[in-house]
Amino acid sequence: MSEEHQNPVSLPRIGDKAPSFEVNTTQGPVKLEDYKGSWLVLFSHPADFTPVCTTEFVAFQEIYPQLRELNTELLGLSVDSVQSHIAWVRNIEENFNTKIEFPVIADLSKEVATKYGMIHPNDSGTEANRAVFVIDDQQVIKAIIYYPLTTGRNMAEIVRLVEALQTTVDHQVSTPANWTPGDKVLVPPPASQQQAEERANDDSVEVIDWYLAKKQL
Amino acid sequence: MPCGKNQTTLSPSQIQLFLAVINQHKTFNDIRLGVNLPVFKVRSALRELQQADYIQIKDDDYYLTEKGRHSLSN
Repeated sequence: MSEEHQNPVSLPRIGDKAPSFEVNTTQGPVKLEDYKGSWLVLFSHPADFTPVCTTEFVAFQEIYPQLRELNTELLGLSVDSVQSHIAWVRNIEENFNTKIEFPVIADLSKEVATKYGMIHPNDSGTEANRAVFVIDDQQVIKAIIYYPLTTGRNMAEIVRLVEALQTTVDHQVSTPANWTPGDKVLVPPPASQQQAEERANDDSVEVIDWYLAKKQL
Repeated sequence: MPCGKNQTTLSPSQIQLFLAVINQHKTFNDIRLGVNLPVFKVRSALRELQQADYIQIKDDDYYLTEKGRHSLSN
């Protein structure tokens, strides 16, 4: 039995303060605290110079301008060295005419990958899997996504997730299945019988039933 | 592990950009607007420039050191 099985790592969860780090990246040393005031999509990938990861990096770069418009930064991570990252992003630029503009953490010690629970021993004991942590401007974890090594992530969903999370923060509403900006949002359900009775007759919202009501922002 | 270590990870042109802007502006927000880079990059670069003795911080304002002034004039 591996050590990870004997001593499970305590993983950060939604609502937790994001674990701090100070790391070397392709753009110099950064601390998590450097991102205060902006949202952050921290994502891991298994390894440089691998096929799925390469397609993902091109795709992450494609959504980076959209994320920047949402006051959101991108930060990649793998357990490779800075020199490996540099060689890989230069290779991506040569092969795909895509310049990677976001920094990539060189987590050779696996310190950050371990803190964030990015290594899943039964998928790969040595590499980080495809984790995505959405961290808000107060450095609180707002969402977590895990994909296995074999499955590339959906970039439109990552952008949609950030838009949905920011909409919830800005307007104290929820977002329904498949929500995209411009769609109606869900208002919080009534917390008392009296609220429920008044909600049923509230013309300012679209009431499907007393517990399910939508409105346009 | 590389065979040598640079004093900073900033490129010569990045150093010159920051030193030129800090020569004109003292506050973080003005420097950030001057260099037109993401906030995380500005914080990281200012920390590196301070550690390499190009700049110093007094009362939350940023100033060039003698080394910084010398580098800017060259």
